[in-house]
Amino acid sequence: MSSCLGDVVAALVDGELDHASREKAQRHLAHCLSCRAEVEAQRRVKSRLGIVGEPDPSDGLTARLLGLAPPGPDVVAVAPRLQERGVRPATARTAPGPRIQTSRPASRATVRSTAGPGADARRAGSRLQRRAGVGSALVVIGLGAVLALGSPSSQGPSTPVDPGSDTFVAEFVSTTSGTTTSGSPAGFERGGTRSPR
Amino acid sequence: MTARRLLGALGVDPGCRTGGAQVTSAAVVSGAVLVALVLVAPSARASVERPPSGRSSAQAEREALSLLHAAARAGHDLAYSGTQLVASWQPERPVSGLVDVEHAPGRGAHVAGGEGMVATAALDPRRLGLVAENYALSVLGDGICSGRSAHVVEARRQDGAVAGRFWLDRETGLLLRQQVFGPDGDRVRTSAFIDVSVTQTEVAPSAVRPLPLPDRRSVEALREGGWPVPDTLPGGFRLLETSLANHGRGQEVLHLAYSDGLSSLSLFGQQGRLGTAGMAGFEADTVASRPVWVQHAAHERVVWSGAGRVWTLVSDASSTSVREAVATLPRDEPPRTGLLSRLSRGTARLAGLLNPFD
Repeated sequence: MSSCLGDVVAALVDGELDHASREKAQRHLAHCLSCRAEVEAQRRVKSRLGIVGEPDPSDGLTARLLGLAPPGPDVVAVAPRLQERGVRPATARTAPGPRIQTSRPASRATVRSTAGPGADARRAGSRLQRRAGVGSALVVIGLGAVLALGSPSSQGPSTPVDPGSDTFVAEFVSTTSGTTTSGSPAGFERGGTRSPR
Repeated sequence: MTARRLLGALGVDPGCRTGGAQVTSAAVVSGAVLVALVLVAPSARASVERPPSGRSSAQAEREALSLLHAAARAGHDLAYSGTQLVASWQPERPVSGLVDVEHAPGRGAHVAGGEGMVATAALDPRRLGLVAENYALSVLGDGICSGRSAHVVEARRQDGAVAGRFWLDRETGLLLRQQVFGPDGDRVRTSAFIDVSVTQTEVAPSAVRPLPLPDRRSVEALREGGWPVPDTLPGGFRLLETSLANHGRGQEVLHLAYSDGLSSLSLFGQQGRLGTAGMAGFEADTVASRPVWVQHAAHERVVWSGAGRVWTLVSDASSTSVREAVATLPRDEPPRTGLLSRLSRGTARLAGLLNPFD
């Protein structure tokens, strides 16, 4: 179906036209049958879409998502809704409160759900313990690295050199005697002659 | 060459007089050398006929120094060739060798053999000034070496101990034999012609001029570049030469040459550090409670690390003098093994690794 107003029809149905444009469109609709039919059709579609509810995720998807999430207030808030949706509750060590069990194996996906002020304090303590553990591990690793770097056998970042060659002795002999020596290492030859013995 | 002459050159026989059985085998010569090294006592005996006394010490010193300068000129201007017996008495064992020396005026001397031993055919004019500065000189008397009549000049330390003796050819002035003794009186090294022939006896009187001492600007430039360049070292050692050479791969090597007039000392510095695997052919030792690596060969070699560099000292001086010199040069402290020291050292190294401006 085509209309004279084109995209103005959708804007009119959605209430997005300003006052002047809306008056002009309505004057056109008063004598244009096709445009009036188009407007009516779009209003019906919109009305039907408006009564369709927001789709919910499947129970399996919800349970798997909860299995991935750490226990916390969000889980507690979601738990009653899950129970309403028929998701089976998990085993919980604290009571009272809803117990949630996901469809994942209990060893990997057990979610602790607690409620009440005592449970909040325990959760805060657990977080503190976890952070303290991570901090302690970092300190131990850092100390180990510092001790390893500070080992007497460990060396600084400078380049190792080998002073054990006889080059320096040849240079010493040449400097001291003012002579050239047969078989002295290259690079330290002074003035004079060189010949095999 | 005769065995008697060889033993006389080492100081075993009173005088380097000719005569006796002819010895032509190098093996026999080496055997005689070893026997002589074993038998020779570390004393300053010399085959010398002492001159009549009565001369003042200043006059004797001038006369001795004049003979040494004449020897320096002769060693520079004469054409000569021969074989020197060279020996050094290291703390653990004596080292000896035969060195063929051939010198031509204007071309310098060429030596072969000797296992790295230093032949002392020519005296360095710069070192003569140091000999006169550090030691009391006198003409000890007359002697004979390698069949040639010689003046014997003696150098004594301030405490009166003999530091060195020179046998100088009466005819040409050439240095025929030299002995050097350490501060404790022990023999350090000796060199002597056991066979020498001089083919040119005309000596130009002004042929030798003292070589220039290190340029002060170059020394200051080295110091500004972070290199420690001591002007003097203990025992009267004075800086004579400096050089900074590139040994490839960006490795610069500093060479500082010192002398006290009788002995020499070369200090080499390299940027870097010693490896942790030790040094083959060296022994771990300490000098003034700091770790060093020492090698006793024809020359004493000491290696250590200090001030971010690796230092190598090579010298023909006595071990006592070498250790006194090392003790004044920058050296790293021995690694401390305590926990706090290790933590401090590790923190510093970690900071160095993480410093983006380093």
